[in-house]
Amino acid sequence: MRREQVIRTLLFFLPTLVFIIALTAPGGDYAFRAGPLAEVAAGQLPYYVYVSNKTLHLYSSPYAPWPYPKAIEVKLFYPTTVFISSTCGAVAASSVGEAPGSYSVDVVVPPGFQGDCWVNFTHPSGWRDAVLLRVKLVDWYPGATERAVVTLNGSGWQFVQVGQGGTLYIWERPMAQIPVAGCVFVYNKSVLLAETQRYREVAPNVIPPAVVPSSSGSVRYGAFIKLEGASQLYIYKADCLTTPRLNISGPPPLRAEIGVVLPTPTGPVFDAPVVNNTVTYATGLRTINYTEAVARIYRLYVYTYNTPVGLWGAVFRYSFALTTLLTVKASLFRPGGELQRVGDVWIYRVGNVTYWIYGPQPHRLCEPPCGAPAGWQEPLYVVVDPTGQWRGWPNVVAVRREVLQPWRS
Amino acid sequence: MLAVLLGAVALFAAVSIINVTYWYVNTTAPPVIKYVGNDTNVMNGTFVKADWYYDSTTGLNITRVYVTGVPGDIVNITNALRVCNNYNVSVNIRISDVSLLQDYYPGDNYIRYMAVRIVDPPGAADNRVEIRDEAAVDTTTSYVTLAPGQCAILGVDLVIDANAPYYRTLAAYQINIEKVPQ
Repeated sequence: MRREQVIRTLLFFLPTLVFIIALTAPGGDYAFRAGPLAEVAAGQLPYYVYVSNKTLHLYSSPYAPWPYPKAIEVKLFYPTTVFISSTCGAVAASSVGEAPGSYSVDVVVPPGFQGDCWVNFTHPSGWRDAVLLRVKLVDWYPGATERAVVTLNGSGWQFVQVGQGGTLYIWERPMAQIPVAGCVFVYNKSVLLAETQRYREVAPNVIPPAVVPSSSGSVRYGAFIKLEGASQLYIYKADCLTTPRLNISGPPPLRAEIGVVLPTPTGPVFDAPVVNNTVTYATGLRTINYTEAVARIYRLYVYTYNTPVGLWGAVFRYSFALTTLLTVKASLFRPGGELQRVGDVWIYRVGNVTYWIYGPQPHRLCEPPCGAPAGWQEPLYVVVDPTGQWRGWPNVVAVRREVLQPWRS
Repeated sequence: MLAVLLGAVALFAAVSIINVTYWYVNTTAPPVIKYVGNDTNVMNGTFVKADWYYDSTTGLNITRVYVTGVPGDIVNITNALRVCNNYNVSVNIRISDVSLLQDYYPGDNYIRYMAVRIVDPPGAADNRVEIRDEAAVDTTTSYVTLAPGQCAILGVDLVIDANAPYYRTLAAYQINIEKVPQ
């Protein structure tokens, strides 16, 4: 072959070869690029994660996996796939990629894990990179940034609720204001089953507010704890867990003397309430019966509820009209037996059942006659104990707020 | 279209002007003051006497009047209670809302008749409330007007069944005295 033919052939063949390779190579023209296959770096992390180069200082929790969404970012410069593995099962994805671009990798630290954990990124070409997760186990519910620590002193089963405004209720009775409201309760190293129930005001601008269970309104989160002396309850600002509803039967019928003796031209009458509306609500933990009743000089809003711990409760709210009527008996709630005053609560004992009541005097005989009650009465909070084990509402000893901080800075 | 839009704006627009007021809650003397009548001096108050007590749960002052009948006889108490206008304007008063609050012998009608009358000033179209067989049958009188400083005199007529026990309280009635200053 002549020299000119060789040159002509090479000048035609080599560009054609390059063109064909570029056209047919899986990576197209990336086949001729230089530089790293990909870069691995820290992604979007919450403030409580300290990051140093490719080392992330994370937390793990004993209660649940601790998710760190988009914790690692992989920038892929080639149209290929990078494989991912972790030495602690913290990454669910096995690979990222295909097209060049930026990819986020979610990290989920398994519950109870502590120590170092490598997240390895590999490619068949021999390229590799890694991120080190340094994990500290902490007694904290995963994902929450703050919690309320409530120290309670008491005994027996207690039904604790937290309203959205931060009011702490125990057996429906407001007891304290706490700095963090949420649906996750941790007590005695356990996450508690929790319920949500909405409450609405039956009349505006009443002090204290006249609230009753409702299908709409502000939410309260509730859980049961069994106290034995002074204990700490942790309430995390976190969403509720999905838990199956317990099968709780309805509360027992409310058998009690409820009403006011009033004079009439023909003789005294007992002004008893007549039910005009009843609604049942089933929460995850309780069955609640709400009733509105009317009488001649008052309107009664009452709800009773049953629990899985052998106790049941009730809340009474009376709205009396202003009248000139005298009475010899005002019975806001009297299930029977003698009324006793113990500390700041009222107690009835009927057989083996003890009725604990917090609020105004639930039963009063007036000799000589006294004026009938007027206006909104303070709520009556009732806890009924057929077990003989309950010893009253606990004391709220202390309340404080804790915020999760990075464990290394 | 513009009119509709303007109408919609008018619907959603609102001007609110709040005038701050400051309310003092004061007290004054009642328009009338009740005094025991002259008949309380008869037999040291055996037939009628009165006092008052304070109801701490409601904060009310409640006047309590005791009237005593004689079983089998008619008792007329002509000056049981005096109700005096304490204001320097006229006050209309009446007896109202008679009702039975306590019946100590529910099975027996020992109080066969009882009337509380406005003895003075005279001239009321209906000057008495009446109780028959322990039930109130006329519960309200007409108004009478008291000039400043003037007193009304209330009397009581009683017929107690001859079978009623002696020295017992038979029943208690709520009887209001309504006062309307002019």
